[in-house]
Amino acid sequence: MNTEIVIENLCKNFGTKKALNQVSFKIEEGMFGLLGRNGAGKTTLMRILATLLHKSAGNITICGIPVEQSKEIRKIVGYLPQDFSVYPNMSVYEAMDYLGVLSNLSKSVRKERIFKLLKLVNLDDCHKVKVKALSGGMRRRLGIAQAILHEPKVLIVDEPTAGLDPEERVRFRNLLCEIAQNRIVLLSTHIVEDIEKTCKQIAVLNHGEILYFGTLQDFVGDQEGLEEAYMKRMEGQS
Amino acid sequence: MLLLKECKQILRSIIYFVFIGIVIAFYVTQFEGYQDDIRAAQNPNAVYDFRNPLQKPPEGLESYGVKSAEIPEQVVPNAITALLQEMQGGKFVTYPVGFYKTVRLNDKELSKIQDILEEITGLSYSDLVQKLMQEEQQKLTMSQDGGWIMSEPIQIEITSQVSYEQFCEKMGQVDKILGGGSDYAPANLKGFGSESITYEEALKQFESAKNQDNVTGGYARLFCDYMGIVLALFSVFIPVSNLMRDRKADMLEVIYSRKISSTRFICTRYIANTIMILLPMLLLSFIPLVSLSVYGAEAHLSVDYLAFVKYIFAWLLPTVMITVSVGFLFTILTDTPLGILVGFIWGFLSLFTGKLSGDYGFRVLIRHNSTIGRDIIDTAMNEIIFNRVFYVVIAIFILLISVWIYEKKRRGCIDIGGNLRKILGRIKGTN
Repeated sequence: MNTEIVIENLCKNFGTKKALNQVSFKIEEGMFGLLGRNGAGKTTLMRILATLLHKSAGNITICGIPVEQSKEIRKIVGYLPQDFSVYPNMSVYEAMDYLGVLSNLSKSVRKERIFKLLKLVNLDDCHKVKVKALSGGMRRRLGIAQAILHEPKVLIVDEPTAGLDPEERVRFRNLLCEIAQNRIVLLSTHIVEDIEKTCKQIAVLNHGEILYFGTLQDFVGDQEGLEEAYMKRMEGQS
Repeated sequence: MLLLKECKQILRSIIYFVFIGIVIAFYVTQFEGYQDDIRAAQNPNAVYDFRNPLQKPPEGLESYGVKSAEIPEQVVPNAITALLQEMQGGKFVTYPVGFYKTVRLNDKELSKIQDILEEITGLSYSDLVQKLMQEEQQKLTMSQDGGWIMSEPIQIEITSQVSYEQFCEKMGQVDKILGGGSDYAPANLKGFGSESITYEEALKQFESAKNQDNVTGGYARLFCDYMGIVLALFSVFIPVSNLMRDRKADMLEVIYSRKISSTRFICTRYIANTIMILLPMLLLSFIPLVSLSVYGAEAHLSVDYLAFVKYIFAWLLPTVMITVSVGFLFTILTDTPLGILVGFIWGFLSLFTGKLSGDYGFRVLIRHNSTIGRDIIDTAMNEIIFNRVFYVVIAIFILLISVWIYEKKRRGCIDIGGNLRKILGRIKGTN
């Protein structure tokens, strides 16, 4: 199985509004950053890849599987939505266990993986804590843990660090890099720093269209950093 | 494993505990009479009550009880008397959709009823009123506390000038003028007649309770009658709240992106809701079962230990299934608690537009508000079976539709709830 996502001429319309217009690019193994302003179409793209939204036109294959085969796609894709939440009265372990059951994992597999993942995301001491008692950063880390519980080949992470303090953001980025070994991690964000520190390949989305696709290095070029390059590119579009 | 987890989630719900409280309250306030029946059956000096299936009727009693009977010689004068009294009072009581309603007629409508009375009796309306007043004066007596009461039921003497069939037809016209649902509807005229239950009838009823119902059958039916009311009105709250918690916890996308099939997910939740709704009733039924079983053993009677379970599954399960299905459908479709409104109204109408027994049709609950009268059940058995199978089939059909809608929502193809919220948002913004 080729670990890649191929998107060709993807369009998504909401009524007369074109949320995505002729989006085409290819994502390979490792961290991939999707950058764009709020309303650029990032979440729409993420949701289509996670089979939560129907595309209007175009072709998408994830590891060779067309996105229309939602049952097969859900086996290999893990999704951390922008507003991740679970039942507040469940404990961390219970929430992971429940979501593991929804991923059709057996009891023995769940038992083995849940503690391993909670340790990876530094929540092993909190397995009995109720979800409602977790901080924002802890919940996001729980979100990552549940998204990779079924060991997906592709992890889609939508705006994972929004609202986190700088220390938590760094912790989170490091965690994502660790997870990106042997899988695709598609990171969608409007926070430039998140991409700059973690991704080699990026795409920039603006008003539903691809503004840039390629390496981070080429995008930055002679500019002082990604932020400056991004701002210049956006100004050019305005 | 998922089934157990879903059952556990329902068990943690406050709404579920409120439901259990309602079940227990209903049981305690409505069903505890079986203990009096047992005590009376064990006491040879207890007064005979034909409504107690455990009590053997003693020979030689003056009365073994009374039952409704469509005896024209009773029905005609009693119905005419009641109608005259209501006309004199200026208002008529009806139950058009099971609700108590008072009807006031205009002069034209009153005149029509007067004409009908004259056709039936051959007497003018004023003569009939005079007869009624004379009867009331004769039977009016002072009670011990100084008030006036009727010493006997009032019944004016009349000779019908029409056949009984024509009488029923004319009463039907009266019922139509009143808007329907009155005691004068042909189907309800039986209530104006009565006849004594004979010793042989009372004995037959006792033998039926002993040999066919095996002590517990009649009580199982009554138990299901009362529990059916709770189910029809309140059980829909559980599946609706169970599904709404996903949206409330903002967990929809996390669940949607999971590998589990929509069929397995929704069906497992459905089964969990059905089990948890029936469970309190199954557990509660052990209380009367134990008491009745002990009585049966002491009286050397054959006891049907499975009566409560059988009736719960045959009578209550289809009601639970259709209620949960309706709750699921409307919640999945709209992401709102609309299912509660639909389920509650449907249960309410079904409850209040039917008789207390013998009237099954397409009612969502089977009613039989008595421990006796097994013959009514036996006569209507095919109708009951059809009713229950019908609702099981419809429940499964609605469940399958719910699964289909859920899968479409998961793929982003349907979002009625989202559209409703947008419309409401625009309305609020406009206001």
